[in-house]
Amino acid sequence: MIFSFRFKGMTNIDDNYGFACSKDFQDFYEEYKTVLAKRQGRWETNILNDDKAKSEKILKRFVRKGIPPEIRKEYWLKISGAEDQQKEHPNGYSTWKQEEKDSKLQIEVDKDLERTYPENKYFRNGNQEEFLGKLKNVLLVLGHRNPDIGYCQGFNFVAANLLLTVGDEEKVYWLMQCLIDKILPKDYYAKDMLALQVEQQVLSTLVLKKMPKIGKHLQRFDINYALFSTKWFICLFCDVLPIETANRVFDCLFNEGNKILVRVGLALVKLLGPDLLKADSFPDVISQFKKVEDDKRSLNCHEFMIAVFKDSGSLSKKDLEKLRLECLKTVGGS
Amino acid sequence: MAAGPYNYSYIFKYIIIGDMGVGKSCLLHQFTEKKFMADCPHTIGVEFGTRIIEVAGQKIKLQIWDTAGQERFRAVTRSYYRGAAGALMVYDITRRTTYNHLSSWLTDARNLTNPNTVIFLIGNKSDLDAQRDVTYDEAKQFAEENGLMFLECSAKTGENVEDAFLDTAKKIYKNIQDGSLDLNAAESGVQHKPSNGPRGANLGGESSGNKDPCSC
Ligand SMILES: Nc1nc2c(ncn2[C@@H]2O[C@H](COP(=O)(O)OP(=O)(O)OP(=O)(O)O)[C@@H](O)[C@H]2O)c(=O)[nH]1
Ligand SMILES: [Mg+2]
Repeated sequence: MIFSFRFKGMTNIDDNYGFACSKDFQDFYEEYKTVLAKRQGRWETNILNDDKAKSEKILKRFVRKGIPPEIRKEYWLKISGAEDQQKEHPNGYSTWKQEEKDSKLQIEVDKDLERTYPENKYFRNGNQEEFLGKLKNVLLVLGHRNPDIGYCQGFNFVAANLLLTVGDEEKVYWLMQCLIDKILPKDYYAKDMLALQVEQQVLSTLVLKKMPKIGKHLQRFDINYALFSTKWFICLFCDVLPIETANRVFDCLFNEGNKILVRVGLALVKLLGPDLLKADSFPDVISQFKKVEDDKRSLNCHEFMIAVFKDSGSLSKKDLEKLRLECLKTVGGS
Repeated sequence: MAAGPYNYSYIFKYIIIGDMGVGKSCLLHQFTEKKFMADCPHTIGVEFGTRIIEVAGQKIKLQIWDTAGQERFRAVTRSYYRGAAGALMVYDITRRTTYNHLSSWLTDARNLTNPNTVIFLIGNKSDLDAQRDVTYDEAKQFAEENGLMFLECSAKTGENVEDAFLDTAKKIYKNIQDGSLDLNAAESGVQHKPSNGPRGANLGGESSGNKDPCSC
């Protein structure tokens, strides 16, 4: 058996991002529309039409409850700092796009283009030229401008999610560049994958501390966290969580920074906890982790995000940095 | 998988390695599901599949690790080489670069597994004979020089896929029978389970076949 749930239970109605969506999502979306309308109103009154500068704290609270889709792309560019970076290089993107690219980079990008969301209508069915073309440009410029990273498998999903949300390829490039330069932990996508392993070690430490029962269960079966969380962290939860939920994570990532990553990881482990505890063999545990990709509970992005902040309790930036340093010692030695 | 009597007497661990896009995940899928998954997403990190087969009247459960092909992921996938009884090393017959990289995959496989690990070379996408970039004969020669078993397969049509996985198991089984593979050695990649036996100490789930307290 192999575990893949990508196409299960889908209907033909799409979710505005071009993915066919499940009955579960439609049911949820009916409810969520009310939430969205309310949030939109609250944003208009308190943030958009109010000239007073907003404290970080207020903004944080608003962003955690979701940036309204209508203003999401402008907001991402603004709060992340991507817009400022873009202003410093007004003709950068178009120039770099023309420049000759490394041949290995081109081969790697090409291999993954056709494997990006084949089930999404924008990447197939006659639209693919436009969308795959934009995706290719973004990935090539990104690899070209960050030669020590090049192309990392998984970037295609991050870029695709951002493209489906933001539309403009140049803006997507800057959002990703900004993630690399400013938002993610240093050297997050370095070829030695050390920072990734640190993040996984941090997750495992926090699971043991905050959910000892689940942590010990995973230990009992000798489950290496790399097994299930590599894709989570590399793809920033794109192609792991449904796109609307992944976008809610991006809201916080762009606004608050990389602390959100391990918090989302914790929430996923917690969400799967009851099923994990029931699993009593190694393959069984692994198959439970695969379920996350098609789970009702992660479709409900609103409740999921509430859980993200509740489950991990308080986690200060300082404590996290300290923990990362400790974990670096553990993984760096090997 | 419910606990209880085991309906197989051995577990063999396999890994599948090779460059990105050569068809590792499709081979695994073809073997476990008997279907071609054309729209297979690339593997980020490691994936996992199982199937029970029969060799010489013995039921054997294969635990197969499918690894990411991109070089940088080796930092993460390396730990899966340890304790593999079989390694399927895959290249794409239509892309010579994937063949040229075999020596580096082989070095990794040799360094990170045990001396008895059976390494099976697979030239995948044999259905695309018209686009062939690597001849059968040169790959066959490479395999012989390096003591590897070899077949050309197609994850698309299923040609030879079954054979590649089964021949590897037969060879491992033979190594057990003639004593060249010591089941008690740490990281042999094989677990023996008395069929219908009670859950014993060594059967604490199929977790870590080789959970050796000092293998750190
Ligand atoms: N014609 C043909 N195409 C194949 C065959 N096997 C795989 N493919 C195609 O090759 C591409 C890559 O297959 P995967 O199985 O994802 O390759 P992989 O080796 O797992 O790639 P990574 O996960 O990136 O390392 C897919 O588009 C498949 O449809 C085959 O036997 N014949
Ligand atoms: Mg794969």
